[in-house]
Amino acid sequence: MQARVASRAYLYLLIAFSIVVLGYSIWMLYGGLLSMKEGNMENFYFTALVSVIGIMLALSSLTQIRRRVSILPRIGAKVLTVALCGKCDFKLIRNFSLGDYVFKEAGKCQQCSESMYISQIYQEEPKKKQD
Amino acid sequence: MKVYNSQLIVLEKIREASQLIPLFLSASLPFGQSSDLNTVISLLMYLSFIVLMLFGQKVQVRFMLLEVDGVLKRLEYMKNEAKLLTLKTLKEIGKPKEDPTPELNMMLEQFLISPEGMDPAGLVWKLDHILNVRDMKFKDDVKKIAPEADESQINNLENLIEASQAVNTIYRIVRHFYLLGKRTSSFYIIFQIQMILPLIMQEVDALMAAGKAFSQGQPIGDGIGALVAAKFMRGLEKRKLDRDIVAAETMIEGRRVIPLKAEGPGGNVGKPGDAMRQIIEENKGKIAMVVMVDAALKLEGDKTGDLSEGVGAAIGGPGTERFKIEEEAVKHKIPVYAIIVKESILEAIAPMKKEISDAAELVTTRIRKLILDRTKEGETVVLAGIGNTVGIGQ
Repeated sequence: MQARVASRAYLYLLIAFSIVVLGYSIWMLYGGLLSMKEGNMENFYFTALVSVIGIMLALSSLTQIRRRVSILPRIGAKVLTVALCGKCDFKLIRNFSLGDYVFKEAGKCQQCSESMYISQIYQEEPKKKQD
Repeated sequence: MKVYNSQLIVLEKIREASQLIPLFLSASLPFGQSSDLNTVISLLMYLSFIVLMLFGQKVQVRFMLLEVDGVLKRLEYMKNEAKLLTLKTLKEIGKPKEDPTPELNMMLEQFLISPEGMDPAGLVWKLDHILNVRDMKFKDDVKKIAPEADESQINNLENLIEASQAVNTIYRIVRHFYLLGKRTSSFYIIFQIQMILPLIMQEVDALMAAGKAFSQGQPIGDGIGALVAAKFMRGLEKRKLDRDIVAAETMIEGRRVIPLKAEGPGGNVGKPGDAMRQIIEENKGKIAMVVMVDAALKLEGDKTGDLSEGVGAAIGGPGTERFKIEEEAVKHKIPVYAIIVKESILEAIAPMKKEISDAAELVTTRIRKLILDRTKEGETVVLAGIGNTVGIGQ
């Protein structure tokens, strides 16, 4: 658990650092553009080179973090249990609880009091675009 | 070999392109010929060019080692997480009187020696025997460290330990290549492990998800075959067949259908080959058709949960069960049809996705159509639902 907290803290630190680098690089590029207007081309070329490298590194780092974070909800995704009434087709969807299995009896139907059974157990789709 | 050649061609192209750098520098550096900064940058460029020419491969090796080192740290973390989850589940379900850690450590390092293949005659039966011994020993070892667990929980724990064992083995193999590459500084040793890192990580992610599913007894994607067979069995009288398989009997428009699957809801794949042989012998070979349903790995771009129909024994594993089914089918001239549900490696061993679960209904419709199209009234059909039946009853 402590390792997990440390890993999350490291992730947030990395995001903060990347954002700071990105912000500083953009500010530097803006400064370079100003010096180009003033005719100081030497300063412009230098700052442009350094700031473009900074922007690229920060963006690459943020992209990699995004890819890592996108895996996390898939691992901790919610699993749902669907209980179905054999008579009136009433469907009850709830969170999976330990001991559930497909075709297990799932109590009485709320509508017709017939016995229900678990018809499906599946992992809920994360609310994001498909890969 | 092809990959190595193309790598060399790319390096050669980079080297050719880098020869143009001095020309580029003299032509287009914007700082002015007399500038001190220009001289320093030019010198640095020349120096870096020479350094890359002489030590390029060593630099590349260092970068690759850094990447493998990062992945190795992540793998170590995942291996420890998998072990912790296994221990926690063992203690919760099995309620052992003593600390199960030493036994678990021993089980995580267990191995299986495949039979010698110099004389291939009878190889399948030798492998089958070794697998049976391994299964029995593994189950007994689990029972010892989880005395309070019931049969289906024992099966789940067995699968959980196997997932943890797989993560542990992958970690040790990657560490072996990393340390060997570091010690020898061999480009090719490090290159081959670095090349397959994304695939390794994909598999480990899948195993971690599988561990979670087994610890809680949730159905996994691979269980789609068992789920389909269970749909045909629901409400019918079941009987146990050889090696953890259950079967029932039902009628579909005058055809006698015998659905079979591994006994659930514990994590189990059973031995469908042995059960199939038993059914065929009981019916004196008079089986009109065998239909097998299983999950199959999709290609990138294929849609999860899509169905595909074909012929042949749809069953994975070490091959012994497929061999037995094919032997019986040839002996009695029984046609074997297969329906597969497409899914990725991650989806196959992670908790079952909705698309896969929904596909079960489509598969039953397809099976009915296949049976009606290919058999006559009064004939017998065997329907084998292949796959791990964790979280699926019957």
